[in-house]
Amino acid sequence: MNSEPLIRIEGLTKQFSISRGKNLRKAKFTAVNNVSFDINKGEVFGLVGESGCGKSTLALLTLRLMEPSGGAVYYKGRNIFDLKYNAMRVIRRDLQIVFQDPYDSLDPRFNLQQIMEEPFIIQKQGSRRERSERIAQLLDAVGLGTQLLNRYPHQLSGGQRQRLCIARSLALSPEFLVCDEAVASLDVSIQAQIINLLLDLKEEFGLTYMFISHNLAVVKFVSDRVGVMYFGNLVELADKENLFGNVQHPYTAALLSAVPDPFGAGKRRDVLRSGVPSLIDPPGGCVFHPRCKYATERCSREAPCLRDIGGGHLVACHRAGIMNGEVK
Amino acid sequence: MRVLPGKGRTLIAVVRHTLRLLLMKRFILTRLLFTIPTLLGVFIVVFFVIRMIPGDPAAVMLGPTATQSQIEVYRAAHGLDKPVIVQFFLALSNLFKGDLGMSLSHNKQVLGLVLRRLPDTVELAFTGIIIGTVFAVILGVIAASFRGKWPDLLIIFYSTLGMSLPTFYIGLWVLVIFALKLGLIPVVTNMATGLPHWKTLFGPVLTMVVGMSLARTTRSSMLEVLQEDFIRTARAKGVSGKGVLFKHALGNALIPIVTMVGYGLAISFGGAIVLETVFARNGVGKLLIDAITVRDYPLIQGATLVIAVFMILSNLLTDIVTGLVDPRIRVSGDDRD
Repeated sequence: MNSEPLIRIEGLTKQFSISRGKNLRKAKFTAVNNVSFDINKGEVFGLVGESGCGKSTLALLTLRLMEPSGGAVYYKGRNIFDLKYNAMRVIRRDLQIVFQDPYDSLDPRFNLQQIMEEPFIIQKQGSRRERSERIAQLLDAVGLGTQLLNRYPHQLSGGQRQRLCIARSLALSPEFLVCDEAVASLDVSIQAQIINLLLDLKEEFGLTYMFISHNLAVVKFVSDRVGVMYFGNLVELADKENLFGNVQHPYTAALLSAVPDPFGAGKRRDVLRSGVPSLIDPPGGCVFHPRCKYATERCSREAPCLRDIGGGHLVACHRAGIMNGEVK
Repeated sequence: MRVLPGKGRTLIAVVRHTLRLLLMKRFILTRLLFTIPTLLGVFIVVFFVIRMIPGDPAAVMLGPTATQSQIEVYRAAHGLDKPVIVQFFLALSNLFKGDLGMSLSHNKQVLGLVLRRLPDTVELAFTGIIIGTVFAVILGVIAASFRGKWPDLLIIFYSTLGMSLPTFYIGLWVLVIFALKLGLIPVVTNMATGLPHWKTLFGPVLTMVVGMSLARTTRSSMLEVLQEDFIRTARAKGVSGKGVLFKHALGNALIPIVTMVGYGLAISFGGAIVLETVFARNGVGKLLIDAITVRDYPLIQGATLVIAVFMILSNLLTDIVTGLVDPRIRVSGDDRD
């Protein structure tokens, strides 16, 4: 495990400026705040957090579909933000993404043939025949038939579209695949199919995933390691067993207790106080302290750093350990 | 336009689509059937409205020195002495026979007069729309790709100005600059002889191009499409900035643009009245305005009907072209047959 990780994210930060109302003063808010972690080859890294916590921004930054305000993403030791267009294009073969919404993420004017073929053309790979063989192979791998090649995306069902998105992202045999809420917009029955498909493909092609979801059950099922994001910050990161079995951060605890448990009738939920704080005037100190029932004076003053409490279990909390790893 | 794989396939699809539309008799027939009540409505409104305008054709034609008896003879000869409602049904029955009547001022068949002037108007409308569209789409794409920067602001300023100014005013400025100052084109086109053809078109076409609001439509349509998820998908595939702009964004942005262009084409047949008057071109619009001046009732009716026919046809054309640009419309045709 001492070798260079496949993806190393270092101090990644993204700020957006928004013009606020009449006074035209530009306000800034931080969508992703100084996030660092590694993803090792062959693992599934799960990323959870509530809506608007910066998960998708982080995904876009990781693949350089957006320029960061600060920080770096190293792929096999190279910072991808230093690359020029051509070098980046070559790297894009290895770094791919499946977006949340299979209805919007396909060009409605391209038929399946064109959608599947475009990556090969951009990367100048293969002859016409090799391409069509490869496309047939990919469609077969995701359970779509080649008879669909002349269809347009709007003629497919949601599940078929998401399969197509996956086939497309696998076209150039990537090493690393980001699944940004890849199953969230699908039916529950189809979610299961797609997740199993993704896991099968991981075995088949030796992929590494960053799996983003707000669905903890899904993340728990697929991930090896899980990171929890709150308000642009990474607050806890651990092996799946550690995270779900030995919770350290009060926010993670609240997230976990929010999962409905069919057998836990009458169990008290750990309901958070107040809502998500303002993005433009974030709370000082620990961003979570206004909602945290364990918060002390120190928490409102000093932002906690991510620290290792043993076994690669990282947590950003002054009061880590106060819950004895139990979820109420 | 597409630099895509399966270029040939796209071409075949387009040809097949056109053929299918030609074969889609029901669609076209229905549309053509619907034009009959529309044209009838146009005819009725025009017939009665022009008769409400003060002024008598006989008095205009015969001049101020005409005596009362001369005027009555003229009125009787042209059927203007009958009650209006009788005149209307006579004109209507002639219309169904394909007879638009005799022009009072030209003493010729209205149909022949209008058809002889028609090519000039059609030429102007199509040239103006085609050049204007190409120009506006280029400007719109430039504006969208430089959003918020100076080229964008400049293009917005230019197109807002062109949109806000009335056509005749732009036309007069074109005349002042290109005819008077530069001497590039004649001031009165139909009086000049031996002109190269493009000089007769230059002024009115330039006026149309400046007056089009399409650059703004293109810009906002492009900006909207550029925010779509599939644009991000294209970037993730490694498509270059230019490829994203032209291959993915423009094609999708064109769908609302085509509708706008069709509307512009329909309007331009009516707009020809102003343009042809300002630039003194002998088109249907000029024919119509001259007919109104002398209260030439049959000619006004005939010219208006022809303009209405062209507006309806350009709407039909728009629907066909929209199907070509948008596969979602095209393919839903496939499902039916």
